Amino acid sequence: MVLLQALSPDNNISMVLFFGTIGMLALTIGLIVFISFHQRKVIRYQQQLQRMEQDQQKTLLNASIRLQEEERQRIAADLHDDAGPLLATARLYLNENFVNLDKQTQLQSIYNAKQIIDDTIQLIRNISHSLMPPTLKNFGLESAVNDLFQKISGSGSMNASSRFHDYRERLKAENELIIFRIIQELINNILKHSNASFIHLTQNTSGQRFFIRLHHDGRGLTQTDFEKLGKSNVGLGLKNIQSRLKVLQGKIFFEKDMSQTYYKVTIEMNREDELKPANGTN
Amino acid sequence: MCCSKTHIKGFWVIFFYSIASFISDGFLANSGWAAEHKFFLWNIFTLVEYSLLSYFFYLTIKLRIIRLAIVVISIIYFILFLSLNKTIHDQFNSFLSFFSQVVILALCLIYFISRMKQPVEDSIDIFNPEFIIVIALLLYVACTLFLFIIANHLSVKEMNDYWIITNYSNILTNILFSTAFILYRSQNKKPTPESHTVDFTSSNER
Repeated sequence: MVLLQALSPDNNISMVLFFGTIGMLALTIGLIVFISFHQRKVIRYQQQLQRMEQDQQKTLLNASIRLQEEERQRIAADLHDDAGPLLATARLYLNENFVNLDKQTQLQSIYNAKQIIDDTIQLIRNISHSLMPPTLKNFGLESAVNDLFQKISGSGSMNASSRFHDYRERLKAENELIIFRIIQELINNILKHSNASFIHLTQNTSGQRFFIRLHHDGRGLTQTDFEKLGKSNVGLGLKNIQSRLKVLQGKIFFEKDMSQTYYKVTIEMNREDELKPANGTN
Repeated sequence: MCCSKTHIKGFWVIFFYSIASFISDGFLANSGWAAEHKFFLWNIFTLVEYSLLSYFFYLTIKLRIIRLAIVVISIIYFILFLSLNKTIHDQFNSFLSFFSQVVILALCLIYFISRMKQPVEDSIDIFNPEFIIVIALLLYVACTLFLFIIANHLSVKEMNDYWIITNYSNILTNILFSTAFILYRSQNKKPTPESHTVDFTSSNER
């Protein structure tokens, strides 16, 4: 009845009321539908982001666990395959002293056992140094990186150089170790995969930002390759770099130009909290 | 149910609004005195309605400038109401109703815009009780806006005929309010999965 009354042509006010209300309702329903779809879309996007983040976390965690296991296996293998036989041989030489009463032979076997024990000590030192380089601990990142690059250059297969422009004050020991491990991993990748003839490392700071840049002339990765490998099941070393950078809240960029391929590692940290007086003790 | 402390600010205001609406409608339908003084009651209810709904938005919208605007507009509204109080007994005040409806409509739109502008992580679902309440208010305003604009031009018979729009929109609004209250209740009853799990991957655990 209300509808009929409103639609009668002689009732202008009712027409205004009818069409006005219908128009307002249509607009409102349209708005509600639009907002509902928009919110749904936003929430779906948010859930997708969360899922991706969780997957990434899981991948990084798995990579770090795998890496830890590999490191343990390597140390176990070094101890078992190298230190074990050396100590067993030294024991054999020492045992010979109980059997052989000849003074000259006894002295010779003691001397041999001493030589073997010295080798074992050196071996264990090497294992220990591979876990925590003494140069890094005592003299800092700059010295440790220079030392590493000298060793690479000394091999004769590659020209390696490094230059620290602004590293008067050392970073925290744990952060130095993380950065050193990242550099080691990058160098290792360059040596294994790039076929480069030179590597050059530079360090810089800009305000609160700390930069490490690695250049080389071999085959390298682009940022897209890095991200792709980071998400795949291969590229354990790259995942390890990612997880280490996460601890530092740093970033890594892989770039390539026309003439050469170079890596640019950017690590951001708050230097006011980070910097501490340079000394060898940690 | 809603008088207890709620997480959603302004929930209790909507509860009181529903009570006020129910009392007003019940009184108008059943009391002889109310039938005689219906214009007076409608005008008073418009004032109560505006006060409660603008207070709801004051509590809900977090933008300081909007809160300030609500206060300023409310002061203007009360001054207008007092200045027009001579006609309060004789006729339905179309102007004040229109004014309040437009303000509520604008606040509903501001609420939606502010919600859409919020960062992705703070976005809320359409099944959020607060969201449903604002939708209910928007639908109520959309249904009754034109009726209130032309109310002064209608005869008593037309007014009685068309007032049914307000009744239906009230029913719709109350259904949505009830849905919001029930949703609020059910959402707060369920233990969240987060409360039973420990995030081992959190950076704090490192």
